[in-house]
Amino acid sequence: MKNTAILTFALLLAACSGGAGNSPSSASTTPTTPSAPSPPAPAKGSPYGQLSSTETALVGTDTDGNGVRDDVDSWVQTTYSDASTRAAASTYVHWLTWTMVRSARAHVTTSEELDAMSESSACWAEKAQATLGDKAPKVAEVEALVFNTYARTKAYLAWDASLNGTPSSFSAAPCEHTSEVPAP
Amino acid sequence: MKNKFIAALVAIVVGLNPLIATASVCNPVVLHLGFTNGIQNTQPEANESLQGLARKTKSRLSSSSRNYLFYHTKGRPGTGSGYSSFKLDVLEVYWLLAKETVGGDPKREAQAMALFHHAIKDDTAQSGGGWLSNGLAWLTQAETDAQTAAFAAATVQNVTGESDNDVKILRARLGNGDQLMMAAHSQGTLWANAALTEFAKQAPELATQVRLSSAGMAASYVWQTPGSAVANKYTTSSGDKVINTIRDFAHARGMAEPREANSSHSISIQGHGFTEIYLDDNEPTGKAFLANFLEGMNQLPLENKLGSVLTHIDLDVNFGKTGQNLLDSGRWTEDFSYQTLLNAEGVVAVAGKETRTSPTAMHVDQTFYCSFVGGTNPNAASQTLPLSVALPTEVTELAISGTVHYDGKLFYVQRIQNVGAQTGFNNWAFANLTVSKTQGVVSSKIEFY
Repeated sequence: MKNTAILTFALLLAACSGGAGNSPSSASTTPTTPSAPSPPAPAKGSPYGQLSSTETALVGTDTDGNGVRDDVDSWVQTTYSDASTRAAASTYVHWLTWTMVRSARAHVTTSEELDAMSESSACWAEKAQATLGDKAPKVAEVEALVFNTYARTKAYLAWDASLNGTPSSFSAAPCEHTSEVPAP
Repeated sequence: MKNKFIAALVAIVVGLNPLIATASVCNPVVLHLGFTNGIQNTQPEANESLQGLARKTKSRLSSSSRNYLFYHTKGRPGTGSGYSSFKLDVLEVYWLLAKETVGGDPKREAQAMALFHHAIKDDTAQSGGGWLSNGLAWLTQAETDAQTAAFAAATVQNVTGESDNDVKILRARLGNGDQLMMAAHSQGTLWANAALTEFAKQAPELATQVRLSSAGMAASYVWQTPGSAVANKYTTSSGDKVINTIRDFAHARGMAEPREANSSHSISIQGHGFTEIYLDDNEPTGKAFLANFLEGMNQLPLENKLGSVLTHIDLDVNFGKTGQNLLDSGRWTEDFSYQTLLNAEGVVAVAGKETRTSPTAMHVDQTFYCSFVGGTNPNAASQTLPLSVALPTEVTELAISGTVHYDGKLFYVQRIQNVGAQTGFNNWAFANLTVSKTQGVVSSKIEFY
């Protein structure tokens, strides 16, 4: 009996193993060959690697090296009371900051990167909604904080413009699919 | 006695194997959400709108569902400081509306182009400045005109490029038979109409898997799902200042107009925002949009597809002797059951185990993969499972009963027809178990032959 069950099980798995079906990662429609050189090796303490003077100005002072500018870091700590939401918010702000450096380096944002950023955004929103409800800060508020100078806004909008139809998606359980912010 | 029931079980397995081997049926059809944004949204802002929609409709979606953003960008590379992203969005609206005016007919593109340039000229000539010339006081009229002309040409190319991109994404996402319930806000309906019209030409069979619901609609119509008798719907607030302005502008220039408002707020709000106005289910406009959106979901043929949500079948095959009442469990001589247990990804949850359920009966649980959604088409509204049961020699009666479970938020339990006493099987019983789904309602029957 046991053998029969195992045999059947194995047959079934074999029959179905090729059809993963709903994978979020399909072929990107965005060009994948950036013209800019590869990013330099990360410097100690900065998740963005070695920054040019322009990029340094965009990123701002990030004392603890968590990818989030100090004044925005303070806002995150003040706005959210629980560690989990703070972590989700920090990760998302890290992503937003990443867009400026990515823009400055003229690197193409891939659909996969945009998916990862969208998961982070959705996770942050889910946690913020759960703790603050309708009082949870909106994206526009965070954008205003992070992109608070002309140069930062310009870099961000240039990144946004470069997407030019790049698809993205997030899952039904975004907090289970968050990933590290890549090098810009 | 135990060996005889094992033999019966093996016989059923053998009977099922041709169906099991159909690997293509192993991926359940999944309903996804889609969203196309309106003007003046960054990608994260558009994503936020999609997140809001996902929260409102989460109960209708499975854990495998994804939320797809068909993002149309706020600005463009090389925009420069003299021409705002807002103006570029306005140009896109004019061009897309001009194309809708000629029915999207490529042979009439020259006519659309004439309407487009007429709209630009009218806009920039408006007293005090229209949308295209207003807001950048440091530019002269000549500079504005020159930049507008340059960006008008770029807009035509960009619109074509982005629509083509949307179509590619649709094909990639829906190529496996999945379904998409799409919302479009404001200018997003112009994009969605263009892309879905082309998509339906390229892949008519896949286009039946998509429905569209529009909010604050800048377009003159809502794309219609091929083959559906039920129209896709839109919701536009009477106070929506943006749409009212576009409608007036288009009307005055002989262009296709955004459809009339069909909803209103209880208080005077001129707002246009997707989250603030159209997802606010405390107000009539938000309620109307969400009702339309959910109705669109209900119209998707997913409701009639067994393969999409069928996850679990229990069958009890009961043996007895002539004259015994098989409905009376106390008098059953023997019984066993087998189960198919599929999780959301169609993976076997439990593999074979045996338990005894009564002093006189042996209960056997056995699992199968995709067994019941087998056959040739996982999207079929009806599936038939042939059963062949080897009967112990002393058995002259057989009853099959059980439950069919549907997962997701549409959870159905249906008791399968009890066939009552049967005689003359001559040690083998053959039957067809058929499960059908129509308008989301499951029915099932067992027929012996």
